[in-house]
Amino acid sequence: MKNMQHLLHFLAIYLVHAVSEIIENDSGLGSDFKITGKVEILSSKDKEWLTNTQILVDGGEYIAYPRSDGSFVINGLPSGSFVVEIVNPTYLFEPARVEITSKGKIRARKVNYLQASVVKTIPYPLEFRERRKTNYFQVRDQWKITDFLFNPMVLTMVLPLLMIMVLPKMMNAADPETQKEMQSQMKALNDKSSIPDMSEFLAGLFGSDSKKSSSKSKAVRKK
Amino acid sequence: MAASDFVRGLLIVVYFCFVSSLYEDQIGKFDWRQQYVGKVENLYWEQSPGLGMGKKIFVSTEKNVLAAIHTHNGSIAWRKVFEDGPRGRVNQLLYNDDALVTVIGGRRVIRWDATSGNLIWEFFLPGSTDKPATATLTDKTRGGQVFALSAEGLYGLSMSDGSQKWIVPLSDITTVNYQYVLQSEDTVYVIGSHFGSHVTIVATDFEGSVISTNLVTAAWIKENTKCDIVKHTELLCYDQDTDVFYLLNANRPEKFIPTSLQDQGVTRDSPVTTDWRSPVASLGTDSVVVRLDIDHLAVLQPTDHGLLLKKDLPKFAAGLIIRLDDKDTHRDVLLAVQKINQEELMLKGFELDTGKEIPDLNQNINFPCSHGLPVELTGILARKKDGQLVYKVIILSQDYSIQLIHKSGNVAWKREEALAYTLTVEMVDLPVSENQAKFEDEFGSQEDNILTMFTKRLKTQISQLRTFFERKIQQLQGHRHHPLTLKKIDEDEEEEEELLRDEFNLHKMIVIATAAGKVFGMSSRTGNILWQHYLPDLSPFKSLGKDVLLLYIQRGTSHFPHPPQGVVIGRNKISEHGHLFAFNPITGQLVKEMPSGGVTLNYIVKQAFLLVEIDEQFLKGVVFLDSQDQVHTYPESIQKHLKTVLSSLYIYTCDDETGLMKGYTVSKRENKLYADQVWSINLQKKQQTITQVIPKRTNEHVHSQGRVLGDRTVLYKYLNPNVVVVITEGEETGSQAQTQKGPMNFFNLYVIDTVVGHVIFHANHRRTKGPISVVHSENWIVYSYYSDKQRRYEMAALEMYEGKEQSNATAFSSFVAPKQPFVMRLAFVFPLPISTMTTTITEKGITHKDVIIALKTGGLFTLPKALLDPRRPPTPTQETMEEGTIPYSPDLPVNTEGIINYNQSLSNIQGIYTAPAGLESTSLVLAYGLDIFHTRVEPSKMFDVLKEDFEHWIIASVLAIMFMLSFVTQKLAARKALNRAWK
Repeated sequence: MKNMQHLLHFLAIYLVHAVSEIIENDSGLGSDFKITGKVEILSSKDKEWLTNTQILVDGGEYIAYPRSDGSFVINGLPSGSFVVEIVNPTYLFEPARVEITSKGKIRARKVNYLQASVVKTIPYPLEFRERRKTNYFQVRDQWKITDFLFNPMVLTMVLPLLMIMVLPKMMNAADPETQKEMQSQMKALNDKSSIPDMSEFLAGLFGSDSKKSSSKSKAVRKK
Repeated sequence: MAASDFVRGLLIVVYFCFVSSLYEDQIGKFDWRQQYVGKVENLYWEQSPGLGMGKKIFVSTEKNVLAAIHTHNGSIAWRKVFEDGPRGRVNQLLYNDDALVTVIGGRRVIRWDATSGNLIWEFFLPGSTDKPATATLTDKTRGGQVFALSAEGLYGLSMSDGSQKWIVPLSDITTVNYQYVLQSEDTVYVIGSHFGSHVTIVATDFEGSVISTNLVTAAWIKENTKCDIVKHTELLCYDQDTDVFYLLNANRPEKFIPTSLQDQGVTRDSPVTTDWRSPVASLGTDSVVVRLDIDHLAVLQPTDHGLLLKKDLPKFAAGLIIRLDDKDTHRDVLLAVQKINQEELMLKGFELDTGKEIPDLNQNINFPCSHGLPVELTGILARKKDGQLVYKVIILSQDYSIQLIHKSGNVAWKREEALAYTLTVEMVDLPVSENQAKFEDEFGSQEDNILTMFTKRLKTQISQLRTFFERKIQQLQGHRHHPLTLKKIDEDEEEEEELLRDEFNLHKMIVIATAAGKVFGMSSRTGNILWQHYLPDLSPFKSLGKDVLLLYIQRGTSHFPHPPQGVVIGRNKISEHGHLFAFNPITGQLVKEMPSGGVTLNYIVKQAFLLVEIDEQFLKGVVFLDSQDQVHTYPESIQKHLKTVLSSLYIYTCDDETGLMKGYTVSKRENKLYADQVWSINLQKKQQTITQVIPKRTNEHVHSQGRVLGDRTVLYKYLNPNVVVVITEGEETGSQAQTQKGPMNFFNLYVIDTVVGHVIFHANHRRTKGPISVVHSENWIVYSYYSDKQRRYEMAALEMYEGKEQSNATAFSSFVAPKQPFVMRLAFVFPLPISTMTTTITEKGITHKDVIIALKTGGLFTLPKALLDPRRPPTPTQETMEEGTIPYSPDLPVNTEGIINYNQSLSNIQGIYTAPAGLESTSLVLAYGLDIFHTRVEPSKMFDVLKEDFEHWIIASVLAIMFMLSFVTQKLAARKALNRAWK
């Protein structure tokens, strides 16, 4: 019996509660909730950005403008869930979702369109800081000499060139006997090697005099 | 998994290369933006005594805009755009002592910084929005207060920080409608009217204590009675029914003093027309200018015994009283304008006390008839040191234009605010030069034999050569003879553009029809207005809850001896009948026998469209269906041609009031054409309303008939040209539907063949709401909506395919239609709010398509259609990779490089028009709304011309080096050969 009474009591409270909620809902049509917050731009001291900054709620259903200190108030909102965005042509901001209950409790969280159920709260009153400057433009690829030089294709061309140009000079500097020795060694090596055209090339190279080799190297460069 | 992610990333990267984005050095090269404010409702001149008067004007407009405009060149200093609809409405603009205060949305009292446009404070009036609040300001000397009157009370606010100082609750708020707040030296008066009975006057002091409450009987007062505050403390009302003015002095609230203008000796044809916001055209300190008719004014002076007529001004369209401060005396000067002929206005100055004309001020002003009549005059007047009177006057006209006039009678600048009301846009090719036309002519006629063709060719080439030399000589002479005036010539040249087609047909004539009843011709190169017409009788049709004006190009510029022709079709303002205006879209000249205001048709237009076929004159006819189901054409002569194609003529109509879609064929009876209904579809008006009907564009080319799949088979597109998309929106009814979160919205999408009335496809989206924007092109439909359930904007792509076999490759017929097409659909998440969208269109349809989306955040964003492809696979396989589809991910990437208007934000974009250019790669874009923006996009990059950054000099220098090297090595080789020979 006592239990029953308890239950009734509870029910009554619940009913009162529900009724009061309905009344509040009705008066809520007057819709006088507000969202407050502040916009800050840390990377620039110039106040120029204020003039063309807008605060959009739900994509322009409600619009507000910031005061000279960056703070803003959006008045006359009903209860519900809103997305607050800061629009500025120069800076990018992260939007925030604000939920106002029918009793006027407000909480703010990150906007997540893909997983609407994930709640990551952020402090309220809202604080917006610029994420970065908006980049609208592609960068034109410019031709630089360093780009050209460090290109792998060019590098693979330069190395053989060095070998062709510098190695024979070094050989010439050494005494003729060792040169002959090396030549014979090379010949021996070349006979065994499986790259005939390369060996021919080298043989022709070492067999010729210095002038010949220089003209040849120019021809290579032409390629 | 990681590998597939990598592939996905790679593919997305690859596809990003297709996004048409800009390089920084392209800013302003081919794009331009024009900003507007809308039709001006309130206007104040800046008063900053230290810096000279009137550097700026402050305006609030019908488009919910508050703006400051520089008076030296008419450019916008700053602009604030508020919400659409009643919440953003600027109810009142007040300006006093450098304090700029607005009442917005009936409840928000906001003070703005007049120089920078920043918000200083905002006060939110509690209460309901039904009755908009009003306010009044005091001078700094009297404490600097704002008195704001809401439906429930009078609030005293501090001017410096907007804090509430006091509140006076008002009584009888249910019956008395408190509308006016007045102030004298030390008292605030609130006047409320109890319709049909009396007015209540509550007087309080500046500290918020009530001094007195008085009732004054006024049985004549009604809801639509228009009243104005004159001389700070007096209320002037006008009763339409009896044509009597009533005057009440709030200082001595005893009774209204009636004055009839007839008694004062004013004669006029008709009583005051009521479309004015108030009868008062201009306020002076002692007298008021009252508007009696569109071109009839009277100056009245409120006295203790009623109104006194000071001056009757018949034939004057706008007037203004200015107080001229001479050394010790004040003089009231009246300026008024009168239209004297089609091209000119006469401005006259009067001394108000004596009624004498001031001949110094009389001036003729150039005022073309494309502005209609002047509506409002505001200005400032000063005496120079040499005793001469100077003034700056702003004229607001019927066509919403704002122009500033100096003492010399010159128009310093003009703003065509009608362009903020753009409804329809077309782009017309410019004509080719005369020579080019002759050249084309050579191949045009088929009767010529080779010899005549050859002589023709020779002739044209000789004439081309001649014009070339002539131009060269002219240029040389020009430079020699006028070295001093060279600069001036350059300026003239800038203004006078040559209206000839350029090489790639990138510059066109933009024809714009506006809701203000004005038609413009604009150069797409610069955005300059080249011609304009004001049609006072033209108003837009109301179709599916929207304003619609029809604009058709009946004949382009490519039929040389025949001039091009365009036509604007709307509704007559008064009679509801059709109203039509035909013109040459290039020069702006009227078509023969066309009156300057257009012609009113003698029937109500239910449906109108442009025929696809051309007649012998290369003219496309416009076909009308009237409310009696009779078919008419423009021009009449086209009926003969129409009768030959009757069997293939089908008309459909869509009525949002009945929810019925109907299809008609046309038949001939008694030498008249009638439409006979053949099908109808009931779209259940009870549950939903038709909000949009979107056909395909008729000038669209589809290059590829199908898609090649991974296994090298072809999937053929369903290319039915008769298909329209119909969107209906509604609220769910029934017991389950009513949830705590309010009504559940839904929308339906129907794909309907309009020839046979067959519903090809139907989709229902529950728990979603509009505004829905739809793009319909080729075989695909892309639409965006707001999902209530997920609380996000979503975009869906829908494509229709015939299958692996094509039913009829040459011509499509709805009667032997292929079996039901199979439809593929996929939805995506789009993270930004959309106002409207469209797709690019190119000459031959080979180029990829981009969807151009106008964002509510001010950007114009391009999204490759390839990302909105329903064939995007959830997991990529070998086959899909072969086909080249991007793996599916639910979110559409928004990267700021795709915003083609970079930092030039656009407000309230209502529509985007795209047109093909002569280059296949390029599509021209015009976005319109409160702002107008024109640019080009290249959805697949520029593949048909060399890129701008093509490095000519590197190619040239490499070639030169190669050449030199080969030369040198040749020499060296020869020497080596010689050396070898010598050995």
